[in-house]
Amino acid sequence: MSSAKSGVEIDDCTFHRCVRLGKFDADRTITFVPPDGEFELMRYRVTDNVNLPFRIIPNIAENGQQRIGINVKVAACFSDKLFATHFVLKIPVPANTARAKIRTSFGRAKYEPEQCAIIWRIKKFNGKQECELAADVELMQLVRPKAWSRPPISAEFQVPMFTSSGVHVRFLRVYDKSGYNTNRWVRYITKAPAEAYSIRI
Amino acid sequence: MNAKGDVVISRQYRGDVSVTAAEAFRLKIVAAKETGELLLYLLQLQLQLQLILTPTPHLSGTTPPVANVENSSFLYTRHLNLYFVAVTRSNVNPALVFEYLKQKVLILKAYLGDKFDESNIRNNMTLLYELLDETMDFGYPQNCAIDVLRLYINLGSVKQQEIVEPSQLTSQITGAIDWRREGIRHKKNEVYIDVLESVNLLLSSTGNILRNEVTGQVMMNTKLTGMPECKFGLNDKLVIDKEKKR
Repeated sequence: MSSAKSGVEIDDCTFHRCVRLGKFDADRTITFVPPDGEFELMRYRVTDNVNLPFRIIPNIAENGQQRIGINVKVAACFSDKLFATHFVLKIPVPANTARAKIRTSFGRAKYEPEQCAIIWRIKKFNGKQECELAADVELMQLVRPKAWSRPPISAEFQVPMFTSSGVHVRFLRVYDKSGYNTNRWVRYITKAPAEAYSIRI
Repeated sequence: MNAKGDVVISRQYRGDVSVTAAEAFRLKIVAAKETGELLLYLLQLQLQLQLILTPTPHLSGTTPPVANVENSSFLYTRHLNLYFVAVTRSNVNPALVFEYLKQKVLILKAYLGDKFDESNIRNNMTLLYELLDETMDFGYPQNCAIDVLRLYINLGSVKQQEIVEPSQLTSQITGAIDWRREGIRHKKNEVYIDVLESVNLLLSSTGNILRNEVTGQVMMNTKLTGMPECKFGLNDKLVIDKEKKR
């Protein structure tokens, strides 16, 4: 998380009602008396300097009306000390796909007709790793040929201990009259929900 | 109200909306929708200004959650087949009313279970009136925090709660912090912080960024003794609300 050192610009944020907004407006410190148990302290949105965890380079070639050549390279851009889990890449293919010959350098991929897509699954994707998928797709002849709409490729994943925005927790101080010590645990996770991380082809 | 428009429970906080308002609501709203049971809360506020809302035509079976009938504004929300309706003749802040109705449903869920229905309400009338009186006074929302309400409304299923000293009660009602009880003790003082982010990206086929956005959530689980004061710090260089700063 090299970017954690550089600045982060938060476009907007909202707080749980326990946070003293007056204090926040005055000097940007987040102070509060917390509720007991679980709660959402804040919510924020960042649009600048986002660290994209994956770079996906698709190359789709329609060779005539019966063949499509697909080549997709995926590179993990985060630190090699980290890893992503549940990586799923969905590569759409036309509905009239007959079969697909797929080769991958890592993970498992198969053509799933009900989704009209090649689904490439990688359980554990290490940081800085690069993977490649190549597929030859054969199409069935249609009575009335129709142009393929080329829907976007989309990726789904989770990267523990990584934040795309570069936000990290620097401290949490707890003051109480009795002056006890507090143990703190911080976890980070970046997720891309289904269809949210997509590349047009 | 049930399907025929009987009020299940109602509480008037100001006396300026007539009971026949329920009838008007039934005719205009319930009749327009498919039949359902209707629970009426008449939160009657003074007539100052009418909410200027022209009743829009019902678009494909959906009705707006605010309606103006006979000089009274009806703001309502639904839980299963019960309607929670607030009736007012003054120019109230609709966001306030909806927030109150939403809290009300949450409170009732906490007391009566997630899927409470008309019969639950009929069997717990005393509890319901207590809750209505505690959360709203003269048309102004009061204490809606479930944890705090539980401290002194012990009817029904939450009876197992321990009895609190009266001195503590006053501080709860008057104090600014209604989301935390006093006298919480934990053997180990622990805080768990989870930063959850969700990336949203759309690249064009030429590799240009069309949309790129991260939404984040900071979730906390605090197990702390007493009334601790916390200070939370994110990155060193953090610009929040850049527009505002300019």
